[in-house]
Amino acid sequence: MKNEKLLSAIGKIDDNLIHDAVHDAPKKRKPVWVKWGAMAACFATVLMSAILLLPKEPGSISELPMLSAAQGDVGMGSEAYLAYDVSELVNGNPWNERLRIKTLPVFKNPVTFDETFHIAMGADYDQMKLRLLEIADRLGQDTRALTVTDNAPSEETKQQMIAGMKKAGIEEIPAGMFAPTMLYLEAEGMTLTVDQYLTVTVDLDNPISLPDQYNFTPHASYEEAADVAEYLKKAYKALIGFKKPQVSISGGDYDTKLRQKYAIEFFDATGSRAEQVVNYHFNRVRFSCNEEGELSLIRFVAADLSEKVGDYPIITAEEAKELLTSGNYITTVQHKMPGMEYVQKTELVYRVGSDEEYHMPYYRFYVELPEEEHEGMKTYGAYYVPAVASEYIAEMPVWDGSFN
Amino acid sequence: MKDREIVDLYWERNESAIAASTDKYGSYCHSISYNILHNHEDAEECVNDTWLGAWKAMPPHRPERLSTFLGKITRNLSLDRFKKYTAEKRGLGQTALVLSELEDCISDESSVEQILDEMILVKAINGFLYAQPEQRRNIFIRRYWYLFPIKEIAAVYGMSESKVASMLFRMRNELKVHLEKEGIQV
Repeated sequence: MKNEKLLSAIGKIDDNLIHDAVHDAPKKRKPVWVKWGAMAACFATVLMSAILLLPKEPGSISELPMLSAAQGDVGMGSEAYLAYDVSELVNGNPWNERLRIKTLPVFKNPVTFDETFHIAMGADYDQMKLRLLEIADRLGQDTRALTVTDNAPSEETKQQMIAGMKKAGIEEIPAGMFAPTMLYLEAEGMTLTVDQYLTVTVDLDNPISLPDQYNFTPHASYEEAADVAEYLKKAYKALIGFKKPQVSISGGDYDTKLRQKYAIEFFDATGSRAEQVVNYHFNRVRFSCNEEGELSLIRFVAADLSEKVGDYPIITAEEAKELLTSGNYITTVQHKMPGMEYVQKTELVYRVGSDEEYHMPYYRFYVELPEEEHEGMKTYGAYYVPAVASEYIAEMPVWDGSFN
Repeated sequence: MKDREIVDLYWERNESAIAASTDKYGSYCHSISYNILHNHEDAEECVNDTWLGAWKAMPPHRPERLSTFLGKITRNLSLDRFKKYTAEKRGLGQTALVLSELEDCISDESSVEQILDEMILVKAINGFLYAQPEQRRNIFIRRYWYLFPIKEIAAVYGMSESKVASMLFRMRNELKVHLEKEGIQV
């Protein structure tokens, strides 16, 4: 029985350990050219050290803390897009290769979670509440008359959970164990929800019909979505609340029934291009329709960017391609990167999943997967390479073929 | 679909939570169960029972990392089923081997078992693993959490099977010493 006890105890080890064990970078025997590459890298490191030994100006980039790149969540599901041609995959990302952005900000994700107890921590409830009320105000609600509620467990459930934990020998219950993960506002004709990442979702009790000439249905064409976007931009200018709202139509990939779908979003196109890239990823408003073609849901996508780590130097897309060739990428696609000739599109993005320790930029490569092509329909897999200069990445990701 | 959205579906008691879990984590949970049971049919049943377990656990749980939350349920269900197997003398797969490997790590005395708080044991194992170099730690977890065959681990790390086996042997001995130091009798 003792070994069973041990096997059972091992089953309860920290989630981080379990996750990392299949996301490490096993060191397989390397081909000869890698050794030469490594020697060249050593030379580059010596050179870099020499440069770093030069007197530094205060606040120079070399004082920035090291970052850890995400390793990609186990079982994230495969991020791949079906299309006849890569040009069908669209979005409103203001980044393009010609911009030659030299630095971009990196932010610490303040929301972390306790691995043992599966609870997210670090959420700022005052901020969440403020954000909820601010959006309600924009929607013309009398916020003084509204009460914010949350999804914290009831006293009865809480006591049951405490009793259960005590029975299991857990005396120290972490602070935040029973804290809510969402706040709600039941307002007139709508429900507002805010999550720990400050994204507010407005669910309309009575969806709104658009004028007849607009086709706002889930599978409207790109042109129809663009027309709807222009209408929404004017009709909801105050609600969108941006100085310079920029339309972003994203999607264009096909579902299993060979239908395309587009999302209509807006972001603020003010400030430098670097600022616009940040706005595009962390501050958007999305309008969604129901099957009847009515406006049913509005989402104010946001993230808590209060903990800025610094402005980091960004490598070029060409440099990122070299890393991609060397296998320094993260992907949820089950195929090894098939080769540079299959890279069809490059984009600079921030990864914003809840698993990310940092909100930092990556290059996303859309890679055509030759083994997945079926009757002219191609599959484009997403492969990510950190866009922050490699000397600031504590451990460069290496694809190891781990299962998804 | 994001983990948070799937968890929301469970909380809303929406049955599409099961379909979303199957899509996203079906193959992950299946591979965990298959490593234990070495039988696709039984593994599939354990995976289906995993969704039922998740349905019962959420609410009140709100796991942020859904993969390991579901993986732990699958692992427990599969080990329970394995026990049933051995009772029926149908033992297969890696589990019997792993159990015999772990045989000497902790004491057999029933008195010790009675006082051994599992939480203390888990804490001690966590401490032991965190103190290991990354590769050794991951090899240990691949073997004793995921129950991967030694052959597969060796292939992933480009090592010989005997090297992996001797590394695991040394680690088991070190774990035994570590547990002793933590006051867990061996």
